[in-house]
Amino acid sequence: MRWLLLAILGYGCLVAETALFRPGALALQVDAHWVRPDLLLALGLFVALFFDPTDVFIIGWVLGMASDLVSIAGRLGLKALLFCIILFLVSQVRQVVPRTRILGQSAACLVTVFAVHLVWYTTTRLLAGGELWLLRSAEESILDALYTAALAPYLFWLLLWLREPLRASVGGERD
Amino acid sequence: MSLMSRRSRRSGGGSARRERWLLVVLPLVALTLLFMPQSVTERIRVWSAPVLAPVQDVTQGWTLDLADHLRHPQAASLDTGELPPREQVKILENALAEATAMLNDYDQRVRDLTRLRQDLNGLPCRLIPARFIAPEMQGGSGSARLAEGNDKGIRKGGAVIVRRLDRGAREALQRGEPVLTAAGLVGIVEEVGPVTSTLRLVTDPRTNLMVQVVAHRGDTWRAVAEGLARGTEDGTAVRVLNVDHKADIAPGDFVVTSPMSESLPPYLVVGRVVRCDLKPAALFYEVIVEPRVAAADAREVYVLTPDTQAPPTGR
Repeated sequence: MRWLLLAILGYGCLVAETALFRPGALALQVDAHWVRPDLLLALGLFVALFFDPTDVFIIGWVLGMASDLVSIAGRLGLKALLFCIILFLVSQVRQVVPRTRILGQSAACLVTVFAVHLVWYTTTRLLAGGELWLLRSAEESILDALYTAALAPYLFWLLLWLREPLRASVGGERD
Repeated sequence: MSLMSRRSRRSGGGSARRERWLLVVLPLVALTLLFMPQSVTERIRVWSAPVLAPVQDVTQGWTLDLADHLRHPQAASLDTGELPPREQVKILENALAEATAMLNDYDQRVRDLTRLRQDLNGLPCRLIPARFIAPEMQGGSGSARLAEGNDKGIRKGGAVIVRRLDRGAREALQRGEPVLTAAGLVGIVEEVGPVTSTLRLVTDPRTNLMVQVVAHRGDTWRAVAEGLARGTEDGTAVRVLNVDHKADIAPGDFVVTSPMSESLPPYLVVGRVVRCDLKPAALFYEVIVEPRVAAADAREVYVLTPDTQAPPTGR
């Protein structure tokens, strides 16, 4: 039940991301970059904050691979690697994150999305034969991270509402 | 890790082994996919798209519709309604300017096609119109700032040597086929995906072409040398190797694909000689050629593919 629910939620995020947050709909154009929230990564962050680290690694990989498959750019497998590694690292430091507070959720989302997207943009550019464009990549990553961080508390609220069927371990640490 | 190990003890040895196995296998799978060829990964994406992104057409982001470019402007845009005469004149003037620009564009395309057809007369081949995919569509380079530099082919310390086309296996493109404009050869199709292809430009150091140097001496055109063309290390020009030191070669001569070449049609213009140096006691000229087509400026190109339906000809 827990895994099925998580799969449904992941699929919902994926469809919302590709159908709603696309150019011409809810994607925002800032400085010629289409800013889109990374809902799958936000879901992965929830898993990292409330699930067991081994589960985090596997779920992160699956979510990353799904995100890779719907991307029109970049190498297949890159996001899968980034999601599982970075979300696993987040799960190791979750004790210091006020994970049930809106501000804590947004801040964690901002940092995680920024880190994943920065590595993804720069690596993709390098693999495509381009240059590093670190500042530009950082600018695009921070915009994506801000959009995701703004929406993350709503997603977390929904996920926390489903904490029992998801068997999320809420409370006990800094909260 | 301590959390992981506690869990492993709780759930037993079998479960822990399975988890450890997954922790090793999953990154390996991702790494394998990371270095797979474009044709395979693109096919996987196209197959999975109806399931993972049912509302979005994944290929839409890759392909550019040529029909868009050739569609006639809507007559409705000239509907000036109840506007005052001065406003009506302004709208009609704008429409006229737009139509003139489009007409020039069509004219250019028709001229290109006519020239190409004349050049290729008799060859059992067909031309597939294609466009370069803008830099912001590929490789996550989604930025105008990057496009401003890149679309002019300018990169600090180097040059663009590989580009992507919006045509692929769907249009029966094959590896090794030449890509050209009316001005000459742009490059060779390197890798073919279902809907896009990667093009290796003639300036790529990995490109090797059998070429002929053609010169205009007196009133006649004649072939003065044969050689092997290869992109320079910096990817900005082409170097012709093995040009004999006795050859009558000079800057301004044309370099075309050789009739000896088995992989490419003959006499496609590659570029013009800009420098030919002969060191003392050297056996070969050092010939530098400027490509006839600046790939960074080219947008609309043609892929020359063999026409398997056509009867064989002598050329």
